[in-house]
Amino acid sequence: MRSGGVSPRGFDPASLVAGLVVCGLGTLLLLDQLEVLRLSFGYIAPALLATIGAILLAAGLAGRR
Amino acid sequence: MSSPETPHTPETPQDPEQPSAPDSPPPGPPPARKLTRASSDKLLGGVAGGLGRYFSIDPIIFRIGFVVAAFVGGAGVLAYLAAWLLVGSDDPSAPPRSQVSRLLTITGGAVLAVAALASLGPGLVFAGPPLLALAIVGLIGLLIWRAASGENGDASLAARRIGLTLLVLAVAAIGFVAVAVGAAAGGGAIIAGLVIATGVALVAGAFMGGARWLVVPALVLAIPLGLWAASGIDTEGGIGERNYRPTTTAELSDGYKLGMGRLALDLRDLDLPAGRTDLQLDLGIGSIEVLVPEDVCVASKAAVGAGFVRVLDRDSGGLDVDFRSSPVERGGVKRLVIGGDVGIGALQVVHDPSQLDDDYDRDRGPFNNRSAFNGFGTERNTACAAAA
Repeated sequence: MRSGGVSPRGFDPASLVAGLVVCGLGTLLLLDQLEVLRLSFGYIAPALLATIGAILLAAGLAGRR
Repeated sequence: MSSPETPHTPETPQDPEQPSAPDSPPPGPPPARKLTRASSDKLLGGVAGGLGRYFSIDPIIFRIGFVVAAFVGGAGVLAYLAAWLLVGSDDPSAPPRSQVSRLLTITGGAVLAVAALASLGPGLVFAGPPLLALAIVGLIGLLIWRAASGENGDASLAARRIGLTLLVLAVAAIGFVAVAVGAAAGGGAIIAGLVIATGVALVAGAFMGGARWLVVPALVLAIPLGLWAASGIDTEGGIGERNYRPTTTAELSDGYKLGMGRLALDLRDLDLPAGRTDLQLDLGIGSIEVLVPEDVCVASKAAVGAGFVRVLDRDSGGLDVDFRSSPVERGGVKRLVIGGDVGIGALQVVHDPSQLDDDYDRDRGPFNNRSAFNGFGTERNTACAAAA
């Protein structure tokens, strides 16, 4: 699929940021599932919002595709 | 005669890119009407001005609507920011989405969205479902609108984009349910692993042109799993309705457990011994209802992911509820110490079953539909008070 903002073979910083924050969020969730830590709404809600915010921010800075 | 939407632009005759041309071609069909933010009639981002122009309504109507909705749980702020983010400006002189404006918009939107959500507090769960549903529906509508408005009148392409948007939303909704079911079935660790794998794929894709579409499955996996994990739901113990009415201490178990449903425990026919009796109640999703005799002093320590706890004349509700009630008592009193763990739902301990309720108002407690003379406040931990 062709896109306008980034070369199909180029580097997309938005995907990099999104991947890193998704990895971080997934790690948190995995630690909770393994009962290493206990997530509550007080922690997970900001984490989810921060993830979405970081992705939006990165996508906005990198430009619409 | 030109229509109101025809770009009759007396204010741009000196446009350098369009010199006066007496032999200019005749005007074509009027362009498709498109929702844009107004650059001339605006107080903040021009959203209300754009809406007013699009619907041929005075923008003040939309401004009042946004302000009112902003004070009712913050939905107006979210809706305005979503429109600001998703709807382009009508200003042709400025870049439609410059880096700086996009950064400021997104940053401000994220900050205010967090503030709005924080202001909702427990109401996000109890008092705010209609507002939350409205905000979600509004966002979906704006996404569809955005998909349809970017092709300058190409109806077939717009239809395809709308169809694709609807398809993605439907798949995401199904995915949310599927992930929740998977987590309930004990597959939370696997789902978390899939989230990490999706993140790794995103990172790898970043060096091959980008793979932003992977954000959608990543969030579809992570959001329901995160909410499930935060609620602390334990689905062990089965599903359905459980009713227990022990009449002797031998029939009374140390603990009762249910995955999903209603757990009712009637202790009114039970003559508890003097001194301490411990009781542990665990529920994933649903309601625990405990009826206790009036000669028993009740103490409790309960945790609820989302919901409320009510033990006689005390209650607490919202998210991450940590309820403790340790009334003073002295020797010789029948003391029932209830430990409770509820993922999503309610734990209620009362003398009178008519006092049970399934509503919770964070300002007035679970009995918001009752007056002070008809139910509210009639439950008392009298045995503890008498002992003290």
